[in-house]
Amino acid sequence: MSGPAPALDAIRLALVGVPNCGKTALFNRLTGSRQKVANYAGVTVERKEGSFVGPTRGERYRLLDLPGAYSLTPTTLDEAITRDCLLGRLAGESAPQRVICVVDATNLRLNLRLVLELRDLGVPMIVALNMSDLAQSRGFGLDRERLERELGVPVVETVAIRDGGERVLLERLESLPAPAAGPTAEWREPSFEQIQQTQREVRRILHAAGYREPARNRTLQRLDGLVMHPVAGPAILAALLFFVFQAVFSWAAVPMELVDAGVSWVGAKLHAALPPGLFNSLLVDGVIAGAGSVLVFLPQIMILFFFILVLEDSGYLPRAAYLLDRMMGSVGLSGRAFIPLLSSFACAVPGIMATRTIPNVRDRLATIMIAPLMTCSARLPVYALIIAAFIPRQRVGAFNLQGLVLFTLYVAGIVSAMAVAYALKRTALRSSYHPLLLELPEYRWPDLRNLMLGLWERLKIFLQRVGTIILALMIILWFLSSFPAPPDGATGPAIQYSFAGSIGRALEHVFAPIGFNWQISLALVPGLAAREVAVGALGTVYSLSATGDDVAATLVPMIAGTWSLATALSLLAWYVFAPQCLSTLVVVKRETNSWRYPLLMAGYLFALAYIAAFITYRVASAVLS
Amino acid sequence: MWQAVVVGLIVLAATIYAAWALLPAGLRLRLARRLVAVARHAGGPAWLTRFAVATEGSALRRLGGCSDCSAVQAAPTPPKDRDKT
Repeated sequence: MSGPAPALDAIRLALVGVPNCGKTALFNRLTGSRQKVANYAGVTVERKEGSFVGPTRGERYRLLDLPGAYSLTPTTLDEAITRDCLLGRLAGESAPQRVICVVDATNLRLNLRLVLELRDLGVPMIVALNMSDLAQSRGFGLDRERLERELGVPVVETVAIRDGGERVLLERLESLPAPAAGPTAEWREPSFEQIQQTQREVRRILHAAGYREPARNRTLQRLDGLVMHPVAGPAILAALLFFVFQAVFSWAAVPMELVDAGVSWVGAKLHAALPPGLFNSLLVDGVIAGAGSVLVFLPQIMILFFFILVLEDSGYLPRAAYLLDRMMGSVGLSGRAFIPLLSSFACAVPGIMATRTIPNVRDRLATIMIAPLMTCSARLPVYALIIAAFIPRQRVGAFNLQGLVLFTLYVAGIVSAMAVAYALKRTALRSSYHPLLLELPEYRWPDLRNLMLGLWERLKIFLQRVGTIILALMIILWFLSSFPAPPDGATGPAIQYSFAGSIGRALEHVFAPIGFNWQISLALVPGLAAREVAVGALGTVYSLSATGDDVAATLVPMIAGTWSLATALSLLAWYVFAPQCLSTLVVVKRETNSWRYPLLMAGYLFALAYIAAFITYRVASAVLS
Repeated sequence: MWQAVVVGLIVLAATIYAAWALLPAGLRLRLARRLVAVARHAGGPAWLTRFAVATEGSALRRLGGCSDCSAVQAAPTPPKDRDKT
């Protein structure tokens, strides 16, 4: 939420429209929020709320951004949320008193059915012809005033991504009739004949308003021919992903070294400036060694998200979904699973929530169950740490070897997800194949402001995690690793006699068969809160375990000198499947309304992780010895 | 001695924060509302009520967990009875 706090008498206003028409961009523009926007359908799956004050009358508005819907007859969970919210059926939520129906000016044919259905509800409404600049530049023809007369509601042009693009909308919004208490007409699900009648009415209105679609740009047509070609398309997709992972390692090397040097410098200065004792150890071994070792991976995460945001904004992703539909279909998944699975590369939580766009319950459950196998960004620091320590920084032909290994780990996650989906769809979650119906947005250059905002949001989220929950957990871990003090005459590092040392050694019995020492076993525990915390935990544990000259060393050379290659590979295999993310399990419980699925998920992921790590460790040990 | 006291307080604060932040948002909100109700009912000092209200306000803020992703941010639905108070 943002903007001024809504007053009790604030006017309830809803943003409604078909998917990918720019509702969230307009929401952000009106309220000053920074909700996620992208150039594909299904980004918003929940109602979101913000507020703003009208520029002329000073009326307060409570603005709801609703998931995209093609009509008021829902086929998916997110569409049902929109319908229920508009009709005042959501618990604890009154129906909106005014509605802004956002329509894509470059795709009116698909948008007007919803406009007509909303108009019939009788709520004061205004139609926002969004992306009107794009429509004009591409040669779309429309008589706006005539459209307004035909629809009988105000129609204004908006450009949600441009400063001031909402000005006219706000002026007309304030001139709407007094807010209604909600829908004045009762809504009934339309019959097939009624839907046909509405479609005829859409065609009549468009004809009357002089709506004209231009021929499609030939260059874009050729580009689509190439990008969606059955052979060239997948090759382009693979090359793109390969390039991204190469860049994550190659481009991030220098900034990572700078951050690492900065963290080490701060640690050394603090160590020298503070008197020896508990406070010194807390800051140097707990805070700097722990939280600082996670901070080092910021450049890699930023580069990964830069590419994800560019692909999201360009309109390429739905085409990738189309390309992968055959592959998804071969394991029994719906092509609609692509976007949720893609979202899971950032974090499994939004990915699991995005499955609301999948109409079939069994397809949705199967997608939820495999979402954590997609490599989320929290796993990147773990992968990067181990790769930096054990994989030499050299080139294999034109490729960076470290980037190649990272790409392989991501592919391993995808292949495992497909294998699990195959097993699920042929056993417990069997269902018939549902063909993919997907609206392909037009290509566009990524908007620089959108891109920068997206990166800024990611930066804030990462720094906030490091500065809050990761920092807090590192302090607790430092305490557990420092107390009780070692007994008189003890020879090893104090941590061996601490609570953490005891916990680590107890867990080591479980994890020793897969090559994990007590430090790794211990680091897995705080990693339950967020996977990258494991890196910070290793930083703290190894910092406290270090003696003599080792104290000054950073985490990478420390683990490179302590672990065997077989252990490192085993930990990588573990993290491809690792079920350690409490937030994901909680969201699965919320989305499935049952503990059955999160428990099943945790169980099967743990089993897979253990088996994969065991095989990797044993094979690697045998080969390397 | 001062070091032990300062470190003890920092560790205590970190433990309370971590426990609070790792609770599911819904449970955090329920606990915060209960705290507000208790503070008002008990007629305790004003600072306790202010603290309880501030805790309620922070219950749904980003606290560093995975569910903080921008794509997940779902604004709470204020119950009707709260709107009237």
